[in-house]
Amino acid sequence: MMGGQGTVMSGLVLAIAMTAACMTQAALPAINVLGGVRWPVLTAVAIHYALRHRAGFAAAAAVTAGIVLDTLSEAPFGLSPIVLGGVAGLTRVARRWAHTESWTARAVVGAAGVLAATLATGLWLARAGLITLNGGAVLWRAVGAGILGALCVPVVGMLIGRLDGSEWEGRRTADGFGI
Amino acid sequence: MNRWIVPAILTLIGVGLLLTLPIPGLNRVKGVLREALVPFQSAGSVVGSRARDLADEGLSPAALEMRRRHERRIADLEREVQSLRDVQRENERLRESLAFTVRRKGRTLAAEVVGRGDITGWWQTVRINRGTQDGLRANCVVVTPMGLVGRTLEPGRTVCDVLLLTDETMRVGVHLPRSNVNGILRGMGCSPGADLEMFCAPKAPQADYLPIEQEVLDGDEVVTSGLGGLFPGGLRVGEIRKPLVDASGLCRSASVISAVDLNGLRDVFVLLE
Repeated sequence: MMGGQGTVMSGLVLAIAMTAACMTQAALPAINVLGGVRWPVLTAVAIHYALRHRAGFAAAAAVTAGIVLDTLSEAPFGLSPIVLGGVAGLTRVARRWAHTESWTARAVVGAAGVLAATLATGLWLARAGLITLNGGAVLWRAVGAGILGALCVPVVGMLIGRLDGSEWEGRRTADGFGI
Repeated sequence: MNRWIVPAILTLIGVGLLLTLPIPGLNRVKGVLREALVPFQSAGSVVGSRARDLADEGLSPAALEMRRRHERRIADLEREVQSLRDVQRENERLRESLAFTVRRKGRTLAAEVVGRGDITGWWQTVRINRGTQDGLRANCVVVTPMGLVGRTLEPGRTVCDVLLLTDETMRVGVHLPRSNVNGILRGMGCSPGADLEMFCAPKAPQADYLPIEQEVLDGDEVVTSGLGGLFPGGLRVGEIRKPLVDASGLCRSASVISAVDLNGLRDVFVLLE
């Protein structure tokens, strides 16, 4: 999508994706066996934009998803935009090596991104005394979030791709990395 | 360099400026945003809980409505029973010690649960449709006719989050009337080792530091002790399950089955005074 109209359309798609992600994340239940973690739909949107869109949209998606997460939780306002901004930056570095057309690669990047975001957030919250989980519990929850991230990022990416017309071809390659 | 660098930098500067606001300013911004986003979260929560209701029982919307009416009726009856128990307990105390305890008759505020669960999963909370415009403030006690639910967190103008008994950061001074001992209740969250239920059912809170000399039995009633200043005494909390001597060997610990179904909360009362 090029030009002003395309930008407006992409912005609109981002807004729709954020709204839908917020509602979906609120609706889906926490998974107890994974440490009570919730489906990381908003983080998946941020990672998808970092993987597949331009820097401006990637930054906007990370910041917006972070603000929504902080607004609807008890996290200090501003923590999640910073964490997701960092994860988005790392994801943009990772996409130089990852074959992002591949579902496997998207799942791996999604798992790593969500795991890193959850771990960073959890350790910060624990250090600030806002949660009382120990390091092991935070790690377990981060691993759980990573597993859900591996499922969420490809699905979220496919849905957003259908919305904004940049639908991935869904080519499944045996190895998702290093073309 | 492309034309997206400028908006990206502007966005980062905007976030940076936002984060340099003083805490009250940040809370105000968060409050305003929360007011705007709550309808979406509530819609998601409603869809989720309806879906779970339907999946659990395969009921039609009409049957669900009927069940809700029954639940309200049961809640009314339980309130009556609880009130009779309170009177009975009060009489016993009066007879035993000839002391008179004035029951708390503060102002309460009815509220509806509009969002379930913290969206990130780090905290055990529900969101109610009352805020500062209704006179709410942080650390107000939240109850149902069946017992204690939790306490309010920093409220917005029209909504407020309630930290539930099951949250890991929750601590409540508790009293066991039968054995006349005090302890401290702490939430256990959904930490690893909780029941292997696929969907999050928080672990029962735990009463710690119960004196080892006193007998504590399964089914003993647990009420708030009033010690600590935040929670008034005499609010029903739940029942003791599986009392054990703790690892130190100096006191007992026991699970407490909450008197309130925290997963099915719909209407609550906030104690304003």
